[in-house]
Amino acid sequence: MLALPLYGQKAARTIRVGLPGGWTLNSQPLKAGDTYSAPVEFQGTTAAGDLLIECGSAGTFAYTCSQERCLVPACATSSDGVTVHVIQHPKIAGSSTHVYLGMLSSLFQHDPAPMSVLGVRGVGDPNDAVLLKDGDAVHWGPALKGVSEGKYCLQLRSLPQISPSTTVTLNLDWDRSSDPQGIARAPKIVPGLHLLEKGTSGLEGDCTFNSDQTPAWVLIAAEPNFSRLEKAWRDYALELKELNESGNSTALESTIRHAALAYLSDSR
Amino acid sequence: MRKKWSGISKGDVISLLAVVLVIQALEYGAWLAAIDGRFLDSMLAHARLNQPRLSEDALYIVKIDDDAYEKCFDSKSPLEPAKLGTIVQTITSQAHPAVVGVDILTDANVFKAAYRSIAAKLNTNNVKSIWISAAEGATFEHTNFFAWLFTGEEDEVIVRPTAVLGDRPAESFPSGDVSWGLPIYPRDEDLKLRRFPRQVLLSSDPEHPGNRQEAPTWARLVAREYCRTHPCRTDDSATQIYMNFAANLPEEFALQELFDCSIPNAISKRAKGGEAFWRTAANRIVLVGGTFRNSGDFYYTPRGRLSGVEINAYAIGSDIDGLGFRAIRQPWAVLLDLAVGFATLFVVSKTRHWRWLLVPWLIESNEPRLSIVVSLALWFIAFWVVWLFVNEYLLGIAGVVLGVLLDPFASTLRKNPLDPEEAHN
Repeated sequence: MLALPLYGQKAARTIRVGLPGGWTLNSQPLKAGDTYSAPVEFQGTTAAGDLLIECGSAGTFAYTCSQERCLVPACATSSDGVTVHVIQHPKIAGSSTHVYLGMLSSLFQHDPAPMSVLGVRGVGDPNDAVLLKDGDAVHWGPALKGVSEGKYCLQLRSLPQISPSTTVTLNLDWDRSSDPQGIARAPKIVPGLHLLEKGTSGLEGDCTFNSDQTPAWVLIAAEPNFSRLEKAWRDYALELKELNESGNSTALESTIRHAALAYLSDSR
Repeated sequence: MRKKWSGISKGDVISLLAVVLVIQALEYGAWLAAIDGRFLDSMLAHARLNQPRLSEDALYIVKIDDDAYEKCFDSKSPLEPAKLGTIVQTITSQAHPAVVGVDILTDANVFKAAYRSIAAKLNTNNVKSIWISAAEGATFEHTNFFAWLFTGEEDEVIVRPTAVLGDRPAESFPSGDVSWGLPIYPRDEDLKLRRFPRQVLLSSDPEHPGNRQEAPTWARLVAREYCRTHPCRTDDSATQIYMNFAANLPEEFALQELFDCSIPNAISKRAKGGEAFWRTAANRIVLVGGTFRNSGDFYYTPRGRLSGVEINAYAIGSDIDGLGFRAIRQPWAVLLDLAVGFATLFVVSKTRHWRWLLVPWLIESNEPRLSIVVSLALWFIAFWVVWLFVNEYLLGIAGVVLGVLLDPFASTLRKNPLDPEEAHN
């Protein structure tokens, strides 16, 4: 009984600014991490960068202003003089019957308490990055900033994850003093967005991964696209740094980074 | 038809049992997590302790913050073993603490040889250092509702520890020369960390039942080492305790205050500075851990977001003091709910005849209104009993509150409380 009115009620949409890109609201510059309730209208100019906003289940919206002044209602799918890219969040597939059964069974489900190991993780994981594919070789260095020198195996899964997902594994002897770009051959890798995980190679050539590792997102591109994408990624990095310094959660920061990479991938 | 004992009918008892069962089912399914969490946060962060804390000045934290991570370790992980070894060895040999707890994982294959050379030099000056392991594989064993309710069985987690200082802990536990433990903590349903398990089940093959061994967790090992030479009030019978977040955090020293990282690829004790640490760390517990932003080691607690090393410090402090709340086993919670429920029924039935003792508002009242007042009063008393005797068992407060509130409702609603004649009788 209580659930029915709640179910029928349309919730006010909360919008969160990911990357402000120099856009404004009522002449006030937007800040990364700010939240607003719809409806609001953002203003941009050709000089402004890309505005990235999170619109809840509707996805992440990227707006690029292509005329002198642009006005775009938040979460709008089109607007005059504005190029709009919508990055949809993955939806859970399944029939409505499964949904109801799932909802019902979850009411009685008893999940074990998740455990946390409280210690500084000793193994540096790859970071999100835009990587250059040069012929058969990929420059892995930008994704291995926090990874110490050593022999690793890298595993890539293409994004969006499709079934069966395309997985490529390769070995890398990472030594930034002799090769800061970390160039390694990877002929099977196609340009695009991938999940990157770092593992250790076993004696039989198998690759073992740490279960605690969060895969990095890497966008692999060949020239001439790479230079443009890499510059755009560096611009985002500056704004992401502000987001980081403003004390926002790492989860939010990571979501914005991934949304930015997905947007750049779509714009190739 | 009803048999009455002290004003409590058979129907009342059946209603009470049903209510208690429903409340326990809600607890099992984590429906009361938010209420439980609120109460626990309030108590754990503000509880007044009746005895002085023995751990008050027992701990120091040496933290690798963002600045030290960048300047001493080039923002690279795993942290360079040679430097890590120098830090621990310098602290043990120069500051002479009672024990050093190293809250940094040393399981990276690439540094195996370097880690082994640290291990070879450990514990040479009578100061024990205790290192952490991570959980490589974990298996959860569910307990069903009735086993949980009547025998107090809890879900169990069995973990396979990762390598410590280059070597995998032996197949049988505890292993060789390196002292190590798992700083493993269960999250509550609201994902906050409040509980400190004093033991953990280890196995080299968690999937299969054989070869499991109970071992002390890392914080327990550190506290135990300290308690060899210092007075402690550790409650050895408790398997899991709630951490006392009302205590102040131990004094923290940034790594750069104590060590000089200005020479590339080297780290050494500062010639000047950090005297407050070097002069006073003797006979204390010194924890070395990372608080840099990218350590991936921050968690939510009743005191807000804290780093792993700070939470470990709270766990060690709570273990030394023995003043923490103890998690109550479920059969006791059931008995407690029943006792409070019976008390409520008893008081409600007796006060029917003593309304002249109560405020005028109640003289004209009906039974449900009286039930609410009596229930709230009982809950209030129960809360303060727990508050005043914080070293006793923690009540399943949310269950008790709901049990107390719902049971009189159930019994009075069954008696058609809206009947004006019943209300005036």
